[in-house]
Amino acid sequence: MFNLENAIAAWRRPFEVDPVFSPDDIEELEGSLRDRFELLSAKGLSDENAFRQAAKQSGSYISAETEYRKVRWGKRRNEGRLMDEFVGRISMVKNDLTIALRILRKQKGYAFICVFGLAIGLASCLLIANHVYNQLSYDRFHEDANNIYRVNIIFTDNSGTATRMANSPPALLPGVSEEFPEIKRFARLRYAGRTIFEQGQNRFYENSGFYADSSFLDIFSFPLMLGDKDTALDQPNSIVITEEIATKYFGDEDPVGKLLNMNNGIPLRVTGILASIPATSHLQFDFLVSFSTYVVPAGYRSDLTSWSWLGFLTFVQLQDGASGSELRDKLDKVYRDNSTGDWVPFQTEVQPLTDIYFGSAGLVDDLASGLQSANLTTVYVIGIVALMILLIACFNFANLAMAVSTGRRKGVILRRILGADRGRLVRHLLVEPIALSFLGLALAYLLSLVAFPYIKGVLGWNYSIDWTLVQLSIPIAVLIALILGAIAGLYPALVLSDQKAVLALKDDLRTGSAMRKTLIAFQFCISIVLIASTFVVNGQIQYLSEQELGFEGESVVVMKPLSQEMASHYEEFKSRLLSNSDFVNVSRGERSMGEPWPVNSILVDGRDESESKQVMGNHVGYDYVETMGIKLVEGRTFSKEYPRDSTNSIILSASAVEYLGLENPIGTEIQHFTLDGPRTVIGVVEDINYSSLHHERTPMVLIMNFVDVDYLFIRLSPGQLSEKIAALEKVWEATVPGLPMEFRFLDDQVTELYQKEQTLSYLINAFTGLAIVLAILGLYGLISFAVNQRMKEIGVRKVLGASFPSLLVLFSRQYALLLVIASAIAIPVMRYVMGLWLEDFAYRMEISWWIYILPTVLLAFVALATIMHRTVYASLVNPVEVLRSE
Amino acid sequence: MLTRELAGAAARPIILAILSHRENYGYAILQRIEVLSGGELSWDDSTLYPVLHRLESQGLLTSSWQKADNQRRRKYYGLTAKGQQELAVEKQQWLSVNAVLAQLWGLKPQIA
Repeated sequence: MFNLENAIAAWRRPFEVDPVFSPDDIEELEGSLRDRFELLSAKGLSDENAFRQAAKQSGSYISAETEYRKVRWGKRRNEGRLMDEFVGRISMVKNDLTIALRILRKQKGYAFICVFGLAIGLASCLLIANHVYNQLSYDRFHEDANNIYRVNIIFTDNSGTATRMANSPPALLPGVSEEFPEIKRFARLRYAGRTIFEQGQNRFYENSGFYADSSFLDIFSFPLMLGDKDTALDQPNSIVITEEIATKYFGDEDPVGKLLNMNNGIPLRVTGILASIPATSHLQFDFLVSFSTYVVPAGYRSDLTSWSWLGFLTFVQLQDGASGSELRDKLDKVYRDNSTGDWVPFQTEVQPLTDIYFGSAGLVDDLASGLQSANLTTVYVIGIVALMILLIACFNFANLAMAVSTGRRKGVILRRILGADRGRLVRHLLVEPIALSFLGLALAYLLSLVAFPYIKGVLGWNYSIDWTLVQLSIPIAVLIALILGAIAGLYPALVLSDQKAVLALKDDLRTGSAMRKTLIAFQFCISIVLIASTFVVNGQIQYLSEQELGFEGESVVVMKPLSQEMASHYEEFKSRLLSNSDFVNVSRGERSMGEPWPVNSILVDGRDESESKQVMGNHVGYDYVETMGIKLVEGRTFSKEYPRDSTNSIILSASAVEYLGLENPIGTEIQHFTLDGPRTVIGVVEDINYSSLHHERTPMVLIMNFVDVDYLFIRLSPGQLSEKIAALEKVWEATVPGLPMEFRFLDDQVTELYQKEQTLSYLINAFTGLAIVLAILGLYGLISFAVNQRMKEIGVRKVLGASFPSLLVLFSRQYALLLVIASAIAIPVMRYVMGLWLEDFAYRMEISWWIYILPTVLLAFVALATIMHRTVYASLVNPVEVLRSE
Repeated sequence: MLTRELAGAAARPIILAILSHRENYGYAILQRIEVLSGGELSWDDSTLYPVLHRLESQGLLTSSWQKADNQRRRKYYGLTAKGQQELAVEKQQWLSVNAVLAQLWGLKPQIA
């Protein structure tokens, strides 16, 4: 018996199981069917016939399915049911990730090298970027940095030798600022030198402070935490101190308004507290005393109205839009107009504040006021090292990731045969390297944060992580990771998905090998440059340390006591020390080794004034030459047996004799510009390198004429140092009770001059080491991968009787060729870069031929060792095993 | 009988025109077409409903379920404002085709 409902239910069934039809669709179709049925049945047809007719008119399930499917997809897109699609896509990516993870788990070694290598490379790069960023940001924190300039003086003597000095005379800017409207403000600084401060029980030496015009705080943006910057330095006897100094002398008390005693007698009122001076300031100081407090010391031949006393630093702040070079021309004109016949007119240089840090090479700071400067080339060298590390890490990553995905050739081909479209395949191959590169990226940030404090300690970096830089770096790093992952995945993906499936399955194609070879060659190239650079930098430092300085700094103690207090007790101190056999010699001097010496004009008496020469000079005490271990060439040194020595004698260095063109120097009368009357040459000493070996040894003179004791030099007898220092302390306390004693060793002081080079060498050693390890790791990974891929081939060759050496040659051949190409590219590059860096030194090592060859040899050795290791492993495997496995 | 292609192309203006008078449900539309064409145009459900759904997804139609007299639910389709505009466009196009053919075949154009 025909049952309508059963018939309809049967009719519905195919629709119900088909996801193309929604329940609504089915209800609508069923409604239509029923309508037809009712109409037909009303015409008198039997139920069964009516239903058959109606079902026929409604159309078949198959045609409905096709039509509905067309609409349904369009509908999905148009109605924006993206979520469904998104979920679909995600599940696809999830699937890809699962497979990627499975493969990585199988190939842990490669995955590790990939991720870790990239992480280390990126982390090094981040750390170095932080350093470079810090270096390049010097002095840029001042709000008006672009309008601030320092007035330097260029001082040319009659022989045409120009000396560029950071110092300028005190009357220059006060004299012209009214007439030059472009000058908004100016400020003079006078280095306060060695200073002693006293507050209650607290009594310490301070080395780092200036007398400053009150406008100083308006020009620069050193923030004042307490006090008013407009008036803090207005009054005489005012002082502004940094937080650290405030805590040192006043503890937790509020120091503003309190008194601080300077140099045993000058009371200063604290009028402001400065926040710590940023590390990125070329001017570093702990205190500023109002300029009106400064008194020219008795005995100086100049005063504050001088236009020629180069004893100050002068900064000007110009109006917006005013040009420094125009100001320079005007200042030069002032000098030309006002100079009398007595002295050579100065030239000025108006140096932008932001150029000072890197632009002060060869600039003499006559005051030794601790101005920070650096060599831009060094920063570039470091930056280049970072870039190279990054490149090596990236190449490693790309190479290995490529190699690994090439290893998945068969899986990919199978997917293709099973009908995966090309886009799907590319996505599938991309997921793995991108996941790896992001893992590396995350690890890199972690590593750099963890490593920063250690590296900071080792390299003596005085700043912390710059978070703005970190923020800045993230998008770049993400971009790098993305590009890297994409390159590593895309290249093999495109090649693989394009290959004729059968061909790829059949043939042992080494996909991407041309690309890989190029990358390896690059890596070799970078490694060679880096290894050679370490040789050069270390060699240069070694070379410098082997240079004869012309004096013996070992076991000479340098003390810088406060001038006036020690001056009156000097002779007493000296004789007490010399009564003890621990102390060989004692002397004193105006300047120590390692800091610039004042430049002055001298003239052989009787010659024309146009023949005056510029020489460096130091004011020293008796026994100076002996204490310092300077070699006497002829004549004698200063001696108490000749009472006239202290006022009428001079000692020249050998190069000064040559410079002045003297045949028989002893007895020659010399006019010294700053002294009254001529001086007689009593001795000639060997040249010494009193400033760093960045500079040539310059002609020098020694004279005895000073008011204050700046430095004490004490030569100790060889042997136990600690006892001698204890003895020294005892004598000190007995001579100048209560005066704090501080000392250093002269050779330490000298070594400090090469601090930057030392740091650079640590940095380059460390990061080059890293880069080389990375490169070797990458090479190792690649070679073992290549060997693994060719296990079958090795098996066949062995069966056919190939010897181990012949296998070795088989694998090494291509790498040898790459290495040769790489070194051909690397050698000229490193020649150029290192030449640039060495230019900064007056004394340079020779780059010998082996420096060019050795890195290549080393690399060849490492590569060979790797190949050997892998080949031995491969050749030990029984060929049967390998050949059976496929 | 019309060819499949022509029937497909004509479906759109015809459905829009039928619904422009009032809301209606699928089977009623089919019946109306059959009557109007004198049996020349006869679609089955698998042709009509997908077109209705497509027009709906394009925003030309709206639909709502309504209870009919026999207590069965029926999905009624009606024209949206956009559907009205589309109908005007379609009308213009079909009339221009009609005009060309009428001239070619020497017929008097008849404005619907």
